[in-house]
Amino acid sequence: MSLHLSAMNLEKHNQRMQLLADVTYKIRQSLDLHEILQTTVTEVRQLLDADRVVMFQIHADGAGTVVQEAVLPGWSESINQNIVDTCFGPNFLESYRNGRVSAINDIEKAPITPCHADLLRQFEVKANLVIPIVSQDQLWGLLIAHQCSAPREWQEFEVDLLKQLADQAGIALAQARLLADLNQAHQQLRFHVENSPLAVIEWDHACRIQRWSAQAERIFGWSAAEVMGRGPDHWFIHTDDLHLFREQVLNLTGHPFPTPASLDRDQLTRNYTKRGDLIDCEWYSSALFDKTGHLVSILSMAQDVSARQQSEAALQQLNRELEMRVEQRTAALQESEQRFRSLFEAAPDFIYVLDTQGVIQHVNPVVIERAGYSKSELVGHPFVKLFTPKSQVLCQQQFSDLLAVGNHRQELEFVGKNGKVLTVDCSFKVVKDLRGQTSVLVVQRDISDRKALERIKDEFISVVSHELRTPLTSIHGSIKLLATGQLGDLSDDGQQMLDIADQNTDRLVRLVSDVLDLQRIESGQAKICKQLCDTADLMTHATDAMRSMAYHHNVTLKSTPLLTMVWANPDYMVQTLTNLISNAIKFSKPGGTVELAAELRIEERRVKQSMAQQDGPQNPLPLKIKHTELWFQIIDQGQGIPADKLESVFERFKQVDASDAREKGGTGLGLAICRKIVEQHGGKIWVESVLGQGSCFFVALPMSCWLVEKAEISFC
Amino acid sequence: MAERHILIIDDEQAIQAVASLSLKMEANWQVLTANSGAEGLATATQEQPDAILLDVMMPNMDGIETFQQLQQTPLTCNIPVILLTAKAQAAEQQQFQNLGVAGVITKPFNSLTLARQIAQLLGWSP
Repeated sequence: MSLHLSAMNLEKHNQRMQLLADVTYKIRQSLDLHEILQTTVTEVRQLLDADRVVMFQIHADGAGTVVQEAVLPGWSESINQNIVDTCFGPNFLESYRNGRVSAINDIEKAPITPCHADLLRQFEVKANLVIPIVSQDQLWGLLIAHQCSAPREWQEFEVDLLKQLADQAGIALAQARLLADLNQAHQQLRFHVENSPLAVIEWDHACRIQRWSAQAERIFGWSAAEVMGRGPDHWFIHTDDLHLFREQVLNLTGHPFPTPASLDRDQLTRNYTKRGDLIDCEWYSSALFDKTGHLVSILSMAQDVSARQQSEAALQQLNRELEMRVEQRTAALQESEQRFRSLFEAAPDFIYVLDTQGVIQHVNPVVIERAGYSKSELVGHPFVKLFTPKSQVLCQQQFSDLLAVGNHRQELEFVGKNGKVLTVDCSFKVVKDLRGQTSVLVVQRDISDRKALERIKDEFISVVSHELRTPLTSIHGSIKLLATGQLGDLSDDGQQMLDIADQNTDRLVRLVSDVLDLQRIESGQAKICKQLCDTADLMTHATDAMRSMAYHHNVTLKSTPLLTMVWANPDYMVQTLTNLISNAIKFSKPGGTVELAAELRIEERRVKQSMAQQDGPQNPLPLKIKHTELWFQIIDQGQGIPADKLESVFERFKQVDASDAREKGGTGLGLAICRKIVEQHGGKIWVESVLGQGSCFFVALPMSCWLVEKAEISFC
Repeated sequence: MAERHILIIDDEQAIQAVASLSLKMEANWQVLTANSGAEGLATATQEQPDAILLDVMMPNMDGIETFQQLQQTPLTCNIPVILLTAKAQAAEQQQFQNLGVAGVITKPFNSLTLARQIAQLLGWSP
């Protein structure tokens, strides 16, 4: 009997195990989540012959959803219903996580909360069996069997069976999730591969193309179908670069397993496109090995870097050119520097480089050799301290303006180390180096000898002036007194001789004056100190001085004074005008007219582009300036001057006719003096003449020029 | 012209003679002469002339120094002095004027109009 029972039990056990295996097989057959759930609830319902079996998925917040249901017709459906954990106890989730199984045979009698009972009643549940489903160590949900028709006593084997089925379902769910994850990852990868700007090519273990992305087609031109199964050969890679690709493969495939093989360094090859173009490609590759260490595939990513290569090549070319130019420029600068240094070192003049505060930064060797100072006594010390107190004041006054003006020249008194004072001519020039740093370059020339010579000349002129004029005074004065006749009568011949002596003494006096005048002006002793002069006054003084002479020559002297101001030396200008008027009177016929006139001449001139930029780009000088001159004109109706003598009349001792010297009493130096005076004013003097009709002497003096409105840019 | 006493101080006797004769003939002025600055100082102090015609370029004591001495001497400081110079440049003449002299006459002077020139400089009536 017992043996029979045991056999029956064993039979039942086998049947149950078979059943479990069958159901498990069905559950595990699918990797589709929906199918797994559907199969589970269906098989379990059949197995238990229950009225309803549901899969209740629990969410993170504790609520849940009936995600699958197998229910007999006639009973209410609960599919997709969300059930919130308000009825259950606070720890119900935790208990199910720990594997708790809940088997309620009769809900009316079970020790459950009233709201739990109410919930169950909603679904017409009389008996309730709940098994947790754990997947990947997480509580996924609950497998619930309902008996709605009547209370039911759940058997132990039913509970065990459900537990095992729940485990299998958990495994199946995990597998399904993995598959879903895998599919998603695959989708993502596929997306990235297809949308990557890089060509993605996968080679199999024999280096045959097995994957060719859309970008690969865009870059190289071939479709996937055209290249599938082909190896990297001459059709694809430049002959000379094939070895590079092969090396890369070798590096990858020779890599020790199991460390993943990839290359940190990109590879550059020339590749052919379908069109036959050769492009530069940058390759990044990695190798995949299986568990046994065999190569599965090589993944290569490539990008067309032709444009970049060309840019790099162009850039390198530019760099080379730039380097060459820099070399040339450096060589030129070095040469210039060397030249400057040679000049600086070898120049006979003293050369200093000062900073903007007037402190000496550099000196050339000549300063040290000849001035007697050591370098440390000069460099770092104020430049002005090398001069006498009077010169220091002059120098300091000008230095502050120098930086604005740019250059300046000045005579100063330099004191050597031994106390000796030298007169020097200093030229100051503001310079800027390539970094924009400002310095002042000073070239100092010793003009003591020249000054001594000038002093000697001055003294000579002074002495000569005195020595010549003193006896002349006696001669001239005494002859004049004799000529009055008040000291006794002379014979006709005697009177004639006296007249000759008188005239020639006058001539000698004038000659001495003119020679000394010319000498003074040429030597620079006669400094033209200019001031603002009224032109009308100058003209009036000149004509007044000549009225007597004009009267004696029976010449009418006319003048139209011009009311304007001119920057000139008034005495020298009057001397010039009187000289010219005197000549005009001398060479006019009796009854003739000599006229002194003046006018302003305004001329528009274009300046060069470089001058126009002197004021800086924010305030450019206009390109047209008005150049104004004051023109004096001395017009006579005399004998005129031949055309070939119009220039030479201004030379010394050159007159139109040699006889003029005697007849007109001229010294031959008057016009030369006029020219010197006018030139020292920065002006011009010239003559226009018609023989037999008269002459017009012009004196043009510069006035200050001013700027007109801006003109459009054009070049002179 | 009114009678005047003029002292001529010049180391050149020829110029003394010409100037003296000129002033006598033109204006009938009385003329005293001195051959040097020192002699001129003494004569001026003693004779108190109406004006002094003083040469600039003289040895030992030149005209400028003589003038300064005349100015420092109470008896002579009010006697007007006219410098006689061979330096004709305006700048040089201005330097002399700045000393405080009454006037400057350049050599060679016009011996026919010397008196008139002196009278004009000193503001004497014709």
